[in-house]
Amino acid sequence: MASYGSYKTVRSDQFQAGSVQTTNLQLGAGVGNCALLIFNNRGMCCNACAAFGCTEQANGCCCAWVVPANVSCATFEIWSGGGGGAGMICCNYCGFSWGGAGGNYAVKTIPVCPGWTYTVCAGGSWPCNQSHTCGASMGCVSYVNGCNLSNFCANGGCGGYMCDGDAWGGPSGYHHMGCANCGVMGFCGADFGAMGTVGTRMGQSMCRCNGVTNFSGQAPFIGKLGITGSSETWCTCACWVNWPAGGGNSGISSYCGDHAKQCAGGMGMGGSGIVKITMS
Amino acid sequence: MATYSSYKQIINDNISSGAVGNSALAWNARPKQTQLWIFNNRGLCCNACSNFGCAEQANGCCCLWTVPTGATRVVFELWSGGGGGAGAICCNYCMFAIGGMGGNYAMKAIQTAPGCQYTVCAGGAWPCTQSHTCNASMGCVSYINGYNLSNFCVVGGCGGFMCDGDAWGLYCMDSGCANCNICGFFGSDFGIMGSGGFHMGHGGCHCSGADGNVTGAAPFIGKMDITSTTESWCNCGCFVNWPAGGGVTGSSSYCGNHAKQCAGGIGQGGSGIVRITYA
Repeated sequence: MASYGSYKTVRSDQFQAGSVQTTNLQLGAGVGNCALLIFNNRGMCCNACAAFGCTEQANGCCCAWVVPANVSCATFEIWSGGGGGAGMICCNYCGFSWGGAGGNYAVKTIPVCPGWTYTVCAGGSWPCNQSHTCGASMGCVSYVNGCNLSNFCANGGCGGYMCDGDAWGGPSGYHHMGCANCGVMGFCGADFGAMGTVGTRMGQSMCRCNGVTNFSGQAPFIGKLGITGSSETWCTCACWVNWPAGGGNSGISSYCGDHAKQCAGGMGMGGSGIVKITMS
Repeated sequence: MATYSSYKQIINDNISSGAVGNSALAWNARPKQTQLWIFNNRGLCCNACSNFGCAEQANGCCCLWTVPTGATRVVFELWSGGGGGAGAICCNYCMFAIGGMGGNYAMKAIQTAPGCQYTVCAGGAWPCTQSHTCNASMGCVSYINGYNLSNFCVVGGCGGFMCDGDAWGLYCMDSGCANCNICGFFGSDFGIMGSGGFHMGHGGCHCSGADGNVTGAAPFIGKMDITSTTESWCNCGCFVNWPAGGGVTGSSSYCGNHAKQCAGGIGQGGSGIVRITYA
């Protein structure tokens, strides 16, 4: 039998459609959305610095995220790791180098239920402290797996390049590599996505080894560009991190006719990726 | 004793769990979440222009913010002022100049209560019109003090450089853990440092041609400034990279001419901004 309390209780079917308006809400009423960021804490604490080891700075971060109570909608935004910076292994060549591409971005909004578990990974980057490898490695993929998602991921930014790179310019077709950096699609399973920009190098007249400027790529919506330049230098090496999700700078070696240019190592590495979850 | 009006009131117990669904809400009935921006109004109005005085354009903005009735949650986002652009005071040197760095960013989400007061400051920038100082000053710190916050701040972007700056270029990019070797933010949930400024390398006479000068940019704003000259005796101005961007350092490229010493800073860093989202 109905009690007096249950008699007074307002049920869903007693609300006329559209009856609750903004003016009926208090400030803060209905605001259940909050954001959660997942990233390598070392990346954030040190940002550009890799003084205590590039490897740790290059790590990503993975975890399981459980949908909290009362949450019915989640928006996942992922930025992949940026591409690494390359360095020379060759000698007697002009090193037409360019920096790594910025990490790629993707977003997906889905309905969720409390208690569902998602595997969330913010991709790392290539630990390329003063690398001498010609081709640098791509950044690592960032992804989220779980119910209502299908292959949702952002591939890492393409690595930089510095090796017998054609003093007249880079290998042909670098900026015509199809639909993505490194010739692979930048993101999958998303509602929307944007690829990171690619690194490049300024052209140069006179001796083509002399005077160089090296640009890294940037991640969408973050916009941190790494730039290095020198007029004449035998060797430029460092380990500087473009965090988060930015491309690493390749080495610079610009002195014409001096074999010491072979020593130039990668100047920087890509920043590891980040993931943002907005729930409501 | 209950009155008739109190008897008519609907209390929480009267609404069954989850009873107010989307269909009950009017189309425009959205959760009440409000945003507030704090910045130097002159910076907003003039943006890049400082025709009526760099000093005013460089100012920050501080105020006291009181949490409104009903608000219990707040997200603070800070961008500090960008680093200033430097100018030469030396002569007979090639000027390997570097632009100011972008302001740094940090965010903090906290629980609060109506009536709580917060001191909010969006940091300014260095008023460096046509500066001749070699080293430009950093941008100013942005910060918020108050309940549930502890030393929440972002340090200003590092200033640019233009003086006997090694015409051969830099040999090693090793700027430590932050611009100006100090950490960019404190007391935050998340933060990103601004990017650094730089100068393009070039061949031939190291002072001449392709003297491109690049500033840093602030995270999530991304305004990078570039200037370039092929041959120039003096390049001075007061261009503002607002908000929170790094200032452009001077450009002086003419080989063998002492007039290069006149090059002043071309631009100043943009002042910082603060965004408050509360509900």
